[in-house]
Amino acid sequence: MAAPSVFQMILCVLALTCALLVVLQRNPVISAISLLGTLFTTGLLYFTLEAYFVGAVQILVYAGAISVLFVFIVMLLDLKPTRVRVPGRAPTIVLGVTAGASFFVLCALSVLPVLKTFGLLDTMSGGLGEAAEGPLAISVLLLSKYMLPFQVTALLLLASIMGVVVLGKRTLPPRVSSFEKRKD
Amino acid sequence: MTQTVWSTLLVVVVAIIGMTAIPVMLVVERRGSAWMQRRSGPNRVGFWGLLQPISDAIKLVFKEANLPARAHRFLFILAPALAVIPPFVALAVIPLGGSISINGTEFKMQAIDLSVGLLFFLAITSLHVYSVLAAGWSSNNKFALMGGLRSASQMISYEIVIGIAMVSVVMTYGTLDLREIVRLQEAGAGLPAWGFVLQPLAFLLLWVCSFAETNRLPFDLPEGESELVAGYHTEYAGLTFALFMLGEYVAMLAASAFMATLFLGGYNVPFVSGAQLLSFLNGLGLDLNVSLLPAFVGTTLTVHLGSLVAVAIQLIALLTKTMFFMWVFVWVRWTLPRFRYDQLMDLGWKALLPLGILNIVITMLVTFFLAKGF
Amino acid sequence: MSELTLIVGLGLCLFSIGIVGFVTRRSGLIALMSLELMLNGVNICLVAFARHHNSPEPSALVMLIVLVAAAEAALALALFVALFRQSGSVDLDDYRMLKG
Repeated sequence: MAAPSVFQMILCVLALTCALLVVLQRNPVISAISLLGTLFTTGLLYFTLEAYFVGAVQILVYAGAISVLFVFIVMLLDLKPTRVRVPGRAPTIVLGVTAGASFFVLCALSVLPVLKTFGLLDTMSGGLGEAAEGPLAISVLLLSKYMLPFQVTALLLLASIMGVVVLGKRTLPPRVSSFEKRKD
Repeated sequence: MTQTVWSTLLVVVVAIIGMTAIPVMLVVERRGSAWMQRRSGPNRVGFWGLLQPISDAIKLVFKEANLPARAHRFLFILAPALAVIPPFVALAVIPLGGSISINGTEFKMQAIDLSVGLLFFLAITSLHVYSVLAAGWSSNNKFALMGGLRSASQMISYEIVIGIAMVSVVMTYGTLDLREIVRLQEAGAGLPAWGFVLQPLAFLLLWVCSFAETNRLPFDLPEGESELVAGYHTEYAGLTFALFMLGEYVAMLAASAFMATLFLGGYNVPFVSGAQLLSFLNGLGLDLNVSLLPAFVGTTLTVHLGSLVAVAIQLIALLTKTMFFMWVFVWVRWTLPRFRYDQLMDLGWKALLPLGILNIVITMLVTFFLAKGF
Repeated sequence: MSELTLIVGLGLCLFSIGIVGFVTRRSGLIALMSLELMLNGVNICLVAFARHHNSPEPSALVMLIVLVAAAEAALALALFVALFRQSGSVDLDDYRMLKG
């Protein structure tokens, strides 16, 4: 593959910055907006990789619908900025950072030599044409070879819609909340 | 003249089109609404009130652009930017004309030439929701927050209906490329192949939902002047408010251009196909290459005059259709009353969404039986 | 460094940042956002491989992942809203009904 262009490197840096902001920010609204930033720059990165359909779908669905849901719910619930230095939280933070860092190191150390062996890191010229990337090619695959996952995902969406509608009803049968039952 | 230079030039052209639409729309809105309400609108500034946008702009610049006491500063300033930028980007993907032949090679009149232009347009207009949410929440004002949340849920609901209407449009044309859709609409004698003949229900759905997407009356509740102070832009004054209005007008322009492209034949002149227009102009004696740079400059830049005039005529055709839709936007705003919020959501989910699905089913059946040679 | 290395490296970084966020943060919504980051990292790697092998199959998988992410995000958010109405907080540490 060709060397990365300056635009791609800028987009990578932006995506990483926004991802770090999602995780490190105390204010949930800024985290949600940073998630939007990550998803949008990722979509732009798809465009630079000549995957136009996937990029458009990413911006339409991920950055334009899912992220809107996140921002909407955070604003609806009016979450306040959280405190990071909560006592008793230090072991969890250490565990999390260790897990993330060790996963990164493990993958980098194990995947990169494999890629090198198969010659995937050489600067080959790979291009994406309409035939390989366009909506026609993807939908032919989805409707022939991956028909079962496609239908199962459709069922999953239907179940999700029904679940959301049920959970959204305020008129749940009145019962004492279990939080009040426990007296400890 | 390389493709990069040409694309940059077209991006500038699109930006200019967007920016000039705003003063035009300001005059049209104020004078047009005045005419509909049997009064005379602003007619003091300039001849027939045509310089009114300039005085509006000067007033807005000199007003204090405030920042509320405990508002979230970053989001408060980001929201107008999020309102202005997506409509311009969406406008850039509309095909403005055929192709101009410069230096012998054909350059297409489309700032962003994507094979999935329709999807890209929907994607960018879906980013408009964030300006409303950010403005509503960061103002630290209950009315603004309520207006913002309401507007966001309204825009998301009607965006879904637009998506469903677009499914049947894509089924009819078989492509997501806006240029190809315009080219397919010049078949036959021109007018009978226009989109609104092939997909009338999708046209109606897109038209109605464009009102909801741009927060125009009758879907005006989030910025309803009499209900919610000014909705999500209550706390904005001066230049930041001007940016919101700018974004709204350019969003209207983008939506109108989109409808004109999909359903009214785009840049096609009615009853005349692009090739016929070009041959007609060539027959008029315009089949010559004009050099744009004087001889002593090193590079040559020749433009085929026939194609240039053809593209100009097509651009005028597109702008005429777009201005028709913009006029209807203004017309409906001063004619219909506002929907109540629950009526609005009922309309979106219980009336328009089933209609969209019905349209998909009908299109599916018709396309299938036509393909089978029924 | 080739394009593939950069994009796969970015995907790997996003996934790791997602892991860190998911384990570390108290707020359930931030954990959800980290989950989306993880899925996004995987998507990026897949698109890079699609470009490299000039094949539509990873793109089909990306579409399915985006669909599943949409369904799961909607449902999880509805769950959090219902939980918030019941208990007044979205902190994962406060949901301890099943504990002990």
